Amino acid sequence: MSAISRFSQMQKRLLLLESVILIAALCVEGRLVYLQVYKHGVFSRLALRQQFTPKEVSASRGTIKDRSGALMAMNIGLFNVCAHPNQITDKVRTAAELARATGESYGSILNKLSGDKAFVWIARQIPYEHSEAIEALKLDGVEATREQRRFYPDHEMAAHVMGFTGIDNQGLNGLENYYNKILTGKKGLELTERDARGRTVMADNKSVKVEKDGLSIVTTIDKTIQHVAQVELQKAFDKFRCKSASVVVMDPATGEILAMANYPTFDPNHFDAYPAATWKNRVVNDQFEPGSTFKLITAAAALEEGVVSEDDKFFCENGAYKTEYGRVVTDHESHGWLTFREVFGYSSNIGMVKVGMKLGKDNLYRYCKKFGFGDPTGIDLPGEATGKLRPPEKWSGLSMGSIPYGYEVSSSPLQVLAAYAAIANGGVMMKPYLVKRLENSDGNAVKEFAPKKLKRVCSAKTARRMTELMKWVVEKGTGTAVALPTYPIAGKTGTAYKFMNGHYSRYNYVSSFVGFVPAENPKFVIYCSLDDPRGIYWGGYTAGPVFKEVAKRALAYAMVPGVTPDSAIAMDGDKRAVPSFTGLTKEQCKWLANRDGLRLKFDGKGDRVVDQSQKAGLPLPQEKDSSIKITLTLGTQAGTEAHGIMPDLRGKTKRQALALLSPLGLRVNFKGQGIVRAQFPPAGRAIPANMPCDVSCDLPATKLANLPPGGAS
Amino acid sequence: MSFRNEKTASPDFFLFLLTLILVTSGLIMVYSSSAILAHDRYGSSYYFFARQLLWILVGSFGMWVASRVDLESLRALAIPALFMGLFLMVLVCVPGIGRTVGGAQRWFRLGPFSFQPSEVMKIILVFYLADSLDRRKQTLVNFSGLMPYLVLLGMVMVLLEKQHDFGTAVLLALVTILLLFLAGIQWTYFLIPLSVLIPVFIFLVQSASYRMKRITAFLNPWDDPQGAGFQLIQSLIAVGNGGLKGVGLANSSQKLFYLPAPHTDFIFAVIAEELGLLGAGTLVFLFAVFILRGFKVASMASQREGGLFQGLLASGITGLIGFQALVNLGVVTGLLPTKGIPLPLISYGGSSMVFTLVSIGILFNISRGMKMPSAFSESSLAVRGGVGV
Repeated sequence: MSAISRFSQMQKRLLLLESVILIAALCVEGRLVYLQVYKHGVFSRLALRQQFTPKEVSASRGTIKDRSGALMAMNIGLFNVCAHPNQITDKVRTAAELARATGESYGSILNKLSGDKAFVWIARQIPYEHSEAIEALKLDGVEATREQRRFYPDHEMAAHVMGFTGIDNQGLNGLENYYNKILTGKKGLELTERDARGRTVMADNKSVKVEKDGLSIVTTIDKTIQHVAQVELQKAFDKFRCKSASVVVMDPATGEILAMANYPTFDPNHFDAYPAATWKNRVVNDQFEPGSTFKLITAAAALEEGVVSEDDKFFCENGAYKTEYGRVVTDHESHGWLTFREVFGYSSNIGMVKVGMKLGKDNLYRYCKKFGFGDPTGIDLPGEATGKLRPPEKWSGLSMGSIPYGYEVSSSPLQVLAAYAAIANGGVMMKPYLVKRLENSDGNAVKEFAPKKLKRVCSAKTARRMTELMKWVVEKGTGTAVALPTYPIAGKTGTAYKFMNGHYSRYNYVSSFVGFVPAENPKFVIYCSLDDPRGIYWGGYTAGPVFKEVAKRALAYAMVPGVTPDSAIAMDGDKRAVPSFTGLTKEQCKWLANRDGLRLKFDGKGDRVVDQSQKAGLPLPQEKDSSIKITLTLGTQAGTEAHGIMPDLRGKTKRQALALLSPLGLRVNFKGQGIVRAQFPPAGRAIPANMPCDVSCDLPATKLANLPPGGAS
Repeated sequence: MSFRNEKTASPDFFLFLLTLILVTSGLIMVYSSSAILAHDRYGSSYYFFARQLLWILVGSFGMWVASRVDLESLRALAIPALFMGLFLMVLVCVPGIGRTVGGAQRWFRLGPFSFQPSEVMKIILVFYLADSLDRRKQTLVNFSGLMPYLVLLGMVMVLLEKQHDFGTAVLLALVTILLLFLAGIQWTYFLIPLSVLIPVFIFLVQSASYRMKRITAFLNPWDDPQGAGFQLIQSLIAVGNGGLKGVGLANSSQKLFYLPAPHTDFIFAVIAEELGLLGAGTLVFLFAVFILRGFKVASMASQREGGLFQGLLASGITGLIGFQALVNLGVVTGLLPTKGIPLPLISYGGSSMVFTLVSIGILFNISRGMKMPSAFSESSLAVRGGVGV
């Protein structure tokens, strides 16, 4: 072979080699296309799965506020410590360090870490200092996470309405449960990048799903009225040594529940420290035979159907009456001949059975249904009791001797309240409700709940006539102990035998009082019941005073003008003087005038007083004299000169309040002793000089809401 | 050692440009892939980068020297160098002298740096084979003429086996066969070395369980994703995750301790993840062009009078770099079983970088004065004076 030919042979072989190289390179390129384009999805998912750990981002639970926006349920930050045992190499040391930092037992922690689980809780809901100590240890596979825990700043206040939440912040009772989904919001999902050793990579977490905070709830509850209701209920509960007690206050025009309380009660912050029986919201979840308060339905039906009128006379059999099936109906006191008005007013069972007979069972049943018995009211609370109302074909011969005065039928206190509220509202039943508004975290309204008319239960005329009958109860009948001098009250007492161990007990009662104030243009419907009061058991003397006190204080708070001056609600200042009306609305002026026994005349146009005929501060005679007449000139807001801004006095002592108010030149009327509980005008309001300022104090330091202008209703 | 005249023609500019691009992008990728590892292990993210830069500078000097020595006068040193290389290979296996890294005893420790004798052995072997085959080309027609080379190859492979360096053993076998093939042995003789090598290969594979595992893991990595298949799966995830455009420079997640050796043997996986098909495909293309250019130099050198030695030398060097590159790319993309072979010019590693650059220097040396057919020929003429090598 010649040299030249061998060189050309090498070149040939190099060419062959070059082709091999090219093919190999193309194989690699092809493989890259296959892996990076065709299989890209598969591998990027695999990469994501091993590099990112999905982590839930909890959304903030919405708060619960009273109608003026004061917080009733809020969140506080607590910390959880969790561990990933499969990432921990030195389990003994880790357990020892954790035991020291958390105060939990070493043995139980080591036990938790011993498995090969991916995740265990070490300690939950511990305070920040502890979690900080754990984070400082920088243990591999141990994490401290922030968690929110529910906090109810007013503790027992409206506990049954609020309900409570479990350890995972899920609503277990009350509004917390009913609105759980809305309050909870939606959890977000975040991917945390981790390296092969399980350590978090210092980079932004990928947010796959942004968390959505829960909405906040603005309730219809008025903290002031709620407070008043609770205080009065507790007094009665203690005085009569009841088994339980309940009170509800509602605005009859709208169905808004302003207060709802039960005793015994509990602190939702530590609900598990109380017996489960105390968690029950008896107003909504309990049902029992209402007794005499049910006579409203029989009476209203009889009036509406025209089978009786107020002055029709009934013979009340001197206290004992045997019906045709042999049932003996008795009265608490024996009566002879009574008018229908008196039958209702003295609460005669015999008389009411006779009224029921005139009405007939079908009519009676129809009105029971109309007034909502046997059906839930639809209130926004969980587990509402529907009560029991059997259809007439299932009634026995004895039924007509029971149902007309509230036996053989059961109902929740709320159902009774709703029936009375319908009468107060001119015969139109409103749906009772607890939530006014849903707000987002910025405080903007997301949804408003408007009052809802359920149905007309009777004509406006019948409602008026029933109101008169109920006024008679308080004026002359069984409810005289409830009467207020300033405001006419329409109400009805109830003293029901308790059905115990198969028969009606002669010694155990449910005493109740339900009614509305003022009888004309009612602002509040109030229901109170005491289960098994000791000593006196008459509804008018046990539950009645609760009604009376709640009504009196709520009316004063809402500045509802009374029919006669009432010294009882005047603030006990040192000396009586002409108040400063400047800057007040007409309604506010009327309230002041009513309190101080003055007569007012309004002049001019506008919504605020700009001038008054008698100077503020002029002494008034100690005795009230209605001959004193003051002319007030109305104008627009611009005409009134504000001298300062009313400070927030709530929670302050009397001395502190005075120190705040004296530079403003205000005349201060203190009522009570202790810590400032309520004030007028409310904080933040522009105030003219020499304006009378009312400050109520109470010993237990309970925060109260601002007084809304013009009252709460 | 004698140097050529300063006035001699410039080396191939195109080859120089390719080398520059590869080395520069390699340095960037070494930093990107090793920064976190370096920070984690040494407290400085520049640890590997700085060392790699230093070795590139040392290697560049070596390349400059190699491109200027008189290759023909160096041929006298071929046999002594071979013995020197073999001696070092034996020495590294002596306990207490060789340094063990990752279970393989294949390094010498020189102060703060370590040095791998098998790297220098690659060049020595190629240089020796080119010299010897050129001189004994007449005897190659007989089978007995092949025997010394096969014995030599066997010895080198046994020594590499002692160092657990199976990858380099295969590489040197391939290069030896390549040079024998180019030197003109008959097709039929090829069957003889192959018939020897294949049983040896099978024996070597079976003699070490880790190799067997690597083979089976390559065939189905998902059988044991946490064990033998782990490396390959992590590599494939990195490559696949890169997609068309990549996750962006420095953004690889797979280098976060998922990928073994992200800055050395599996650096291409990081490149593929960060730069995607566009970057990785371009790199493969650049390597292919580099290899073809190297063979072009070999081909033209062999056409020169008495140029067989330089032609074989250029082929051997190109083959060394080319086979390493292709094997590494094949391993990373799952086309070949996992072997510890770095990607030349790219992967982190001092010995590999220095001796690769020196061998490219030799390639430059051979390419001097060639009229290379190239799209770059005009421009290479224009800047020829400025190349400086």
